Amino acid sequence: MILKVQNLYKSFGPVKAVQGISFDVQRGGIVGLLGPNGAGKTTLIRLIMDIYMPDGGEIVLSEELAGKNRKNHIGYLPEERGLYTKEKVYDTLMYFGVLKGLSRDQAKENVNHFLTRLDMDQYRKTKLLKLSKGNQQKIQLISALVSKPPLLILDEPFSGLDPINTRMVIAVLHELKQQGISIMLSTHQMDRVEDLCDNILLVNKGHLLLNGPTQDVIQRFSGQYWQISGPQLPEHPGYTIAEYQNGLSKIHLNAGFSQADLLRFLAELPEPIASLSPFKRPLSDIFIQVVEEAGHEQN
Amino acid sequence: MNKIKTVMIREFLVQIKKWGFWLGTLGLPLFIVISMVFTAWLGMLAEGSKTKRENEAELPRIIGMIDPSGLTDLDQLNHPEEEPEIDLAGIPLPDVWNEINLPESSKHLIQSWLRKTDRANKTLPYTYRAFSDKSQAMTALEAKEIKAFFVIDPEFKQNFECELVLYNEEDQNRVSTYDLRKHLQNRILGAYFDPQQHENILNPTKNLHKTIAFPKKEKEPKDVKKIINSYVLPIAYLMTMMMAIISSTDRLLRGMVEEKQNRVIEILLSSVSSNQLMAGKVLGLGLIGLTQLAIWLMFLLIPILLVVTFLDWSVWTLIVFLSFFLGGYLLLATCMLAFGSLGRDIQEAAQWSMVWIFLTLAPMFFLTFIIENPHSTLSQVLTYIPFTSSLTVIMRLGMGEIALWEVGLSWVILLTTVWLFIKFGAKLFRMGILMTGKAPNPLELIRMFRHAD
Repeated sequence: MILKVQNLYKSFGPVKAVQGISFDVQRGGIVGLLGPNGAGKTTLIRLIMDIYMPDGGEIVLSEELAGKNRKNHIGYLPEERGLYTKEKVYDTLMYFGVLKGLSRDQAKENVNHFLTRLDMDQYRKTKLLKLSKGNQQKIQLISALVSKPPLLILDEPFSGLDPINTRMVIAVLHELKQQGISIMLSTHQMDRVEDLCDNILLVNKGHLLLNGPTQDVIQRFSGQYWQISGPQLPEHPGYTIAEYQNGLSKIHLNAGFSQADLLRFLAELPEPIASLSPFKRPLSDIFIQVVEEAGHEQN
Repeated sequence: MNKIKTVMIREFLVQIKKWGFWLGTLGLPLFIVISMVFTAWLGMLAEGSKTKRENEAELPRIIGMIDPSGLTDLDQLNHPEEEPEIDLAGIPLPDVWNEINLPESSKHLIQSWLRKTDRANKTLPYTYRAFSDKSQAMTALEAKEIKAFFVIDPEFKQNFECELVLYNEEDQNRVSTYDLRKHLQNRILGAYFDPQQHENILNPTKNLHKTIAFPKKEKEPKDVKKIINSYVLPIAYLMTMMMAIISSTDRLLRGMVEEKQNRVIEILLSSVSSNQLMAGKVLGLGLIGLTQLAIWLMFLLIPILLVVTFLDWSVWTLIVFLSFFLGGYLLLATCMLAFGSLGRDIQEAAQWSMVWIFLTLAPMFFLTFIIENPHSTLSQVLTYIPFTSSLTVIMRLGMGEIALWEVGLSWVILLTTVWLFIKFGAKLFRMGILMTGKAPNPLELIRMFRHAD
């Protein structure tokens, strides 16, 4: 465990931004932080980054990272990007590197490494305002990576990137993961979360709604969903047909109708089915369902 | 500490790399020098045109003289350099000079200067021409043969009546009576007294010995240098402070607003604490201020050395001046940065920060009072209030009316306040720099501050 958040609270006057959130980030894992706009993700990140002080609760870093230089061990890519646009790429990155506690030599080495890795070496003497939005985004990412921190917090790292650069950044993130670096990723691109994240956290209105391994969560929310190839299924109170296309039915089991009930029902059909398999729901569906259900409960 | 140093060096380097810094730093003394040269040039032009006007005047430098009393001797009057000098030591000084209780040596200097000024009214010597009566002289004046004429009363030795007839109003201040006055004094004294008695007659109280029966113990006689110091030091302090703070904080505020607007601030705060960021920025600003001061000192070295020598400033005075300049500068910079961070743009940031400049200027409203009463309760209180202490200490220092322990205590309070304000300001700074949208009003600010970390 590299980061442990326990019962965290933060309010701004009457606005309760974070309400009793707890979770862990494991070493070398990638955690997806999900939530609708205004859910409290940025506040949560700023609390971890020590930009805001919590009203209650605790943020504990692993022993070797805790202490006075805590900020040196966490790389941060904020959602709202910021760079000294009138300054040169290399100078800006060196400044951020030294601010992260690196010596000038270390900073120089790391800056050179990441500039080369992200194919930005030719721009080292270029002023940031002359770079394209995508390249500025890559420089921004390097500023978060420059100290090679054990924990990285990236807020919307793919925004503004074309598919080629997105693929490059994903590759870099995989490399970092392999090097044992833990990454906390906040994004609205659910397919990226499914591909990259080992765990997900879903927050809404300051509450943590979901927390667990990505595949487990998908599995859990897909348990009542099945896809059946074969003849079109008749209407039945035990299930709801979500879709039927090209001989493939996607159904959702209604309350009181179990998988065994479904199997018995299918066995009794006059025309046999070709196959039956659980239907893996896209994360975006789960996201919408959980947030809407939470909204209804609160109302 | 390393992070503070990194931020400080960056702020310093970013500022001094800007041409605006050099324009402001070199431009200000250059502007002052050019203004002085320009003013002097205008003065010379005016003087030149005055001389030219006088030279080109239609009226010649000839003064008519009608003296039925027979007291004057025109041969002698037309050679004023041969006249014995009249000692004007007995002339009473204007009240303003007596009020400040000048030492005798200074009085003599001023009297000598007044005498020269009196004599200087006559830039070129006059020629005196005798006329038998007033109508003859008036005809000559009308024909512009003479500039003016004196009429000495026949009974002058008794009634001391005389008249000066001028061509028109413009000549009222252009005809000096110095030579005639000196001539008449010598002639009258010569008529009645032995030449050795002249000085005694002109200044009969020259050997007056003053005895103070009940001297005031508290109020010592004022010293001219102290008076000048008490004005020069605070004015020099204020000018330097305002020049430094206005030129450098403006750029720093711009940089901060830019960091806020382009959101770099969030990246910075992910690497350094708001305390460190604030301290680094303030110290960077302090370094910029000292650099500017050093440059200005180099530029104005000769005038400054002259002033320092003339006013007998000790090393102690300079150390206290520089210490309080730096302390006051840091405090002002801290407040300006902390409150400036609340602004959305440079205008709003400047509005928030300008309040502190006015607070620093407050002791100027009490300048005369502090100079007159350097040990009063008000002076003491202002000495220990951090915002007013710098200027008040400098004022009292100029008067030489501040004890070492008072300077020390005030300095410790000032530095402690700077440190506290960096911590306090950092809280405000963190709140301000992450804030977007409309700037808060004072009530909202208090509420936000209570809810801040």
